[in-house]
This record gives sequence, C-alpha cells and structure tokens, in this order.
Amino acid sequence: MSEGSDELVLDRLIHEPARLAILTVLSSVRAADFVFLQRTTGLTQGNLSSHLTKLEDAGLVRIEKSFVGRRPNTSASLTPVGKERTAAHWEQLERLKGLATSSRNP
Amino acid sequence: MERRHLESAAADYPYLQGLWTIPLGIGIIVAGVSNLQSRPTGFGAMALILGGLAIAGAATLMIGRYYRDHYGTVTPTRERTIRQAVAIVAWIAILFIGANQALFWSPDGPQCIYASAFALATLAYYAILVGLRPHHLVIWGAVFAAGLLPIWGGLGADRDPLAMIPLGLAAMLSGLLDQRLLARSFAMPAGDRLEGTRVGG
Repeated sequence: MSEGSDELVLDRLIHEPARLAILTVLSSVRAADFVFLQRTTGLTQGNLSSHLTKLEDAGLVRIEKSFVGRRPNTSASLTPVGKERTAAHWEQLERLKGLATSSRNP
Repeated sequence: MERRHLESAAADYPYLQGLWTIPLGIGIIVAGVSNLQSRPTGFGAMALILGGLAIAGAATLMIGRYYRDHYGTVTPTRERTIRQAVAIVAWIAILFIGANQALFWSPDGPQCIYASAFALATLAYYAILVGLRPHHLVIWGAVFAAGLLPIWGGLGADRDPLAMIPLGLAAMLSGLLDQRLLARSFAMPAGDRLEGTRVGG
C-alpha cells in the first residue's frame, strides 16, 4: 500500500500478529514482565524474545533487565513512538474494517 | 485477536487477583471473632490472633509467588493507579458514612447497617476500578440486602462482630470468582493462538 495522508498504510513491523499482540498488551500498562507477556500472548520464550528484540531494535519498546532477589527479571514498556505507532495502526485497522463493512452494505 | 480482550486482560490484571481476598477474608473473620463478647481471652485470644496472622501471612507469601510465577507482574498506568486511589477513598467514605448512619439506628435494632455499608462500599470499589461483574452484584447485593433484613435483633454488641464472619466469607467467595474470571481471560481460544507465526516479515 502506498503512503499518502488519506490512504491506508499498514505498518508491516507492527502488523505481524504476535508483535501486534505484544504492543497492544503493553499499551494498557506502564510495564509488563516477560512472564506476563508470555502468558497473555501464548508465545514460547524463544519466539517472544525474538519479537521483543525486533521491537526494541525498531525503538518501539524499551527492555529492562534486572534481578528480583536472585531471579532475573525482564520487563518491557512502550516508548512514546511505540505508543503512537500502535495506536495509529489500530486506527488504520478500524478504518479498513469500516471500509469493508460499507462496501458490503452500500 | 480481540483488541479489547488483550487490553482489558492487561489493564484489569492487578485488580482481579482474587486470591488476595483469602488472607483478607481470614483477617476480617479473625477481627470479628476477637471482638465478640464471648471472645477467647488470655492464651486463647493470643492463639486466635497469632494463628490467624500466621495463616494469612503464609497465604500472602504463597499467593504472591503464585501470581509472580504463573501470571507475571505488570506496572499499572498512572490513570489506573489514580482510579484505584479513588476507589479506596470511596470504599472508606461509604463505610464511614454507613457506620455513622448506624449510630442513628438503635444499636439493638434488627438491621445490621454495618454489613450493608460494607457491601455498598465494596460494590462502589469494584464499579470504579474494574466495572461490576455479575458475581459482584449477586454476592454483595445479597450481603447488602441481608444487612437490611430485620434478623439481627437481640445480638446487642455482638451484632457487627458477628456480621464480619459472613463478610469475610463473602470477600473470599467474590475473590475466588474474580480469580476464575482472571484465569478465563488468560485462556486463549485455539483459533487465536499466535504460536506458529514467523518471526520477521
């Protein structure tokens, strides 16, 4: 899809279902740890790690590694850019849905 | 993938950890029993309080570990934290007003306004924080109604402490159903499973 102010543009990085789920969960909280993200998305540890790395590399999430007692803890939060792009992506999806509905019911 | 489902599961998670009502309910019941006219004294009183504290304390540690290991942890948004503060203030205010209202009723009266006020306060708490669910309405609605029934007469000073026993039990039941709701909100239908999606692209 081409860019344009009124045309639909889907963010390919965010549109991947697993990453969209991760970003959507993080948009409702200030931060969430790895266990919570794994539980809500149903992804394996490896898959979740890979998706988080991709999102971190793109500047959409911030990853913090720490220790809780002696246990390693990984926590993720959305960056301001991540928040904005996630919201924009859902808006685009809603617009697409609206277009699809109106084309079915002219 | 349902957006609203993901968002609410995450946002409501800290407030639907219903197992926390187990130590809370134990505490309410112990507080009630230890304020009865015929309460245990001396060693019996100490055993009741220390025993209750020990059980509640052990439950608290186990519950904390359970949620941390099985569900993980989240930091709520500022908006949610403020909403929780408002919910707590509302709970205290309604209970305070209800308890004061009780002073204008006969202490030997047939109703237990304290129980009704507690129920109303708890309903307000849930309504502000996560929205009322059917089991909140049923359990706390029943407690509210039970407090207004003319069945508490003749209990004298034991009326409110005795009411704390069903209040503690109601808190635990409501919490267990919150936990059930939480567990269901994390269960993902097979069609929505994300596993198997390629990384990249």
